[in-house]
This record gives sequence, C-alpha cells and structure tokens, in this order.
Amino acid sequence: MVTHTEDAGLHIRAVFEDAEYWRTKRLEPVMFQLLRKGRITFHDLMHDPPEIAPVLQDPSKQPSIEDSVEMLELNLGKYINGIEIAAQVARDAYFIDEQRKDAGIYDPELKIVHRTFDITSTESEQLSAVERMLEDYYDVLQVYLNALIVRGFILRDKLKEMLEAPIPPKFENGAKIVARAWTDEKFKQSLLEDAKQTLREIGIAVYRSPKLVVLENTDDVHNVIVCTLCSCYPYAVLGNPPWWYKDDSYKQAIVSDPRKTLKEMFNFSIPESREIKVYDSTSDLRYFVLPRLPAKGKMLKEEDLWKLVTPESLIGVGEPRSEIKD
Amino acid sequence: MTDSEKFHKNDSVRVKQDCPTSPTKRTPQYVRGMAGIVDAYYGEVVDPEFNYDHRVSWGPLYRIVFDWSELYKDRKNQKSKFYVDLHESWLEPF
Repeated sequence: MVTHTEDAGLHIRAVFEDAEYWRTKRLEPVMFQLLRKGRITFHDLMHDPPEIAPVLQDPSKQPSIEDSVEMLELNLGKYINGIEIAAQVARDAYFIDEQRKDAGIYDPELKIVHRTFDITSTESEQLSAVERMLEDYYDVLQVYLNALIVRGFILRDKLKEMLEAPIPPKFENGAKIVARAWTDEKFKQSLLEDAKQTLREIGIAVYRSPKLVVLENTDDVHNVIVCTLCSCYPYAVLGNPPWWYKDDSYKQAIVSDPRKTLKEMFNFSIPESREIKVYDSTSDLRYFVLPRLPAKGKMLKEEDLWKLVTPESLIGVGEPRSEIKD
Repeated sequence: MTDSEKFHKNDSVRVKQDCPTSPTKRTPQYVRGMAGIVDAYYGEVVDPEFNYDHRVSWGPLYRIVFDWSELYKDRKNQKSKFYVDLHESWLEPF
C-alpha cells in the first residue's frame, strides 16, 4: 500500500489509480446508461475527438521528473473536472443508483475491468504510459461531451465556459480551515457545531456538500474516516481524496482492524490508550478530521500553520507534519 | 429536527439483515445484524442544494455507534468504536 510520500513513482501510480477510478466508476457507467436509454447513441460517439475541454499539456517536455509529474497531475485534474461537469450536465438523464449497478458496486461480476499498473518499468516509462492512457481517456471524454452537445443537453459555448472555469478546491482548503481552528477557539467551536454554516460564513463554497461534520482529535481520541459503500468524501470542500481512499484494500481493512491498518498501511502507530473512532459515511453526511496541532507548531507563524496539514491527516490516517518541509 | 423520530440518543438498536422495503439499499454488510447504540439523530437529510444522489428522502438518519467487541467477538480489548450513519428503516429496537 502506498502512503503519503514525495516519491515521483508513487505520484505517477496515484494518477493512474485516480484516472482508472474516474473512468470505471464515474464516466463509463453513466455513458452506458445514457446509451441504453437512447439519450445518446453509438453513432454520436463516432467522431474525431473535438476540442471542447482545455487541452492537455505534454508532461515529457519538463525540466525535471517532479515537474513532469506535476503536469501529469494537472492533466488528471482536467480529466476529472470534465467528468464532473459532464455529470452535472446530464444529471437529469440518469440515475445514480443505476450508475452504481453499472459500475459493479453491487455485483462484482459487473465491475468494469481495471488496467494494471506496470511497476517494473522505469519512472519515465511509467510517466509516458500513464500520459498516453490519460490522452486516450480524454479523447473519449471529449467525444462524449460532444455527444451531450449534439443531443441538446447543453449549448457548446456554455459547456466550454464551464470547462474553462478555474478547477475547484484542493485539500489546501481543508488545511487552511484546520490552521484557523488551531488558532481561533471560537471558530473551532463553531466549526464543530455546524461546519457547513461556519465555512459558508468564511466564504468557502459548500454548495454541493450535504451535511458536514468535523471530528476533533484529542489526546484520548483519534478519528478516522472511511466510506465503505462507495467513496463519500467532502469533495466540495477538500477536492478529491487520495486514490487509496477509494480502494477496497483501505475500506475493508480499516473497519476490520483500524489500529493494525493504520500501522501497516500508513506506518502510523496509535498507542493502545488512545481510543480510535472510525466514521463510516454511508449516507448524506460528510466528515473530515481536525487533527491535533503538533508540538512544534506552536512556534510557527499563524499564516504558515496550514503547511503542516497533509491530506492524510484530514482523513485520520496520519498526523500533520511536525515541521514545514521546504 | 422533529420529535417524530422512532429512536433516541442512547437507545439500543439492531441493524436488520435486509430491508427490501427501505428506500435505500445502502447499508454496509459488516454491521447487518449487529447491535449498536444511537449516538445522534440527524433527521431527514435531503439537502435542498444537493439533489445529486437522490431526490427523495431516504427516511430519518441516525448515527449508530458499534463497539469493536460487538462487531468482532474474537478480538476483545481493543479501544475502538465504529460510527455508521444508518436510516431508520434499517433499524429495530433491541
């Protein structure tokens, strides 16, 4: 299992897993459903990929592997954003529950086959393989977006405008919320009482979140979140979760033995004296964790505190960094 | 919140094994048949701004807490609790 790390190879792997998730769970099942219902046709999809969504950049032309990986991640972001917008546009034409069926959530026999990641090749080979895969997927997405235009779901100009709008939030949002809660007791109390309202008041767009609950870690209690049924996560506030959050290996293990799972998958030991609370967001509520302020954090300037927060610490599979990395 | 909820905080409940009549089939396998305690009542939460997943209510929603030793009888002495959001139709008094 891959934990949070700065290793380029693991970042490439994460892009691969995310792209596969979005293709097999979010895009193709909806396309199947619209095809079945005759809302789009196979003929609509027989087009050269049009340029509707912003073009992908070529990650191979970057000065370093880190820059290439960053470019690859940006391309993935465009792919995900396009899928989310397509879902929004076609929302009235499909049912989520059927989408789940088509994605094989209820019946493993129906699962769309996942590609496997080639871990034997070098990082630059992996990078170009994942990039090629993303380009293929992006072509399919564009053809599908075009079909939505042709079938009158949306006007071309309106769709282009949506696709070109800035890409929505990332976990840094959450990091800044946490940092503010560390320094502002009143804000923290209000966040714990009614997170959605509190965030709305400070200007964070929470419009697509259902009820939001923030879970405070203490010296006695450590909170962890999971969604065993699908991959519920406070997307609207924190962006997309790390890929393993959506993976069965995490979901099944964490509800079966949290302490052991945190140790084995994330190298995160929690003393026996500290209670672990696992929150399984199975319905309309979304959770995230408010981690404890690391000891050294008290010496930091307020505006730097958010840099200690990692995506893992918002899920509860790790603590914030003990100091700011360069 | 209304007073019409069937269960209240600290009530003992059991999760049904199956509930074909429920508007939602979404209840994790690992808690089916398990006894737990009502930890919070959320009411009917269909967010007016959030009709993405379902447009009609799935019924009143509770947060149920399960003890590790109830879920995994073979592994006692672990300080862990599980909080799972479950709809009223899936719960029975226990």
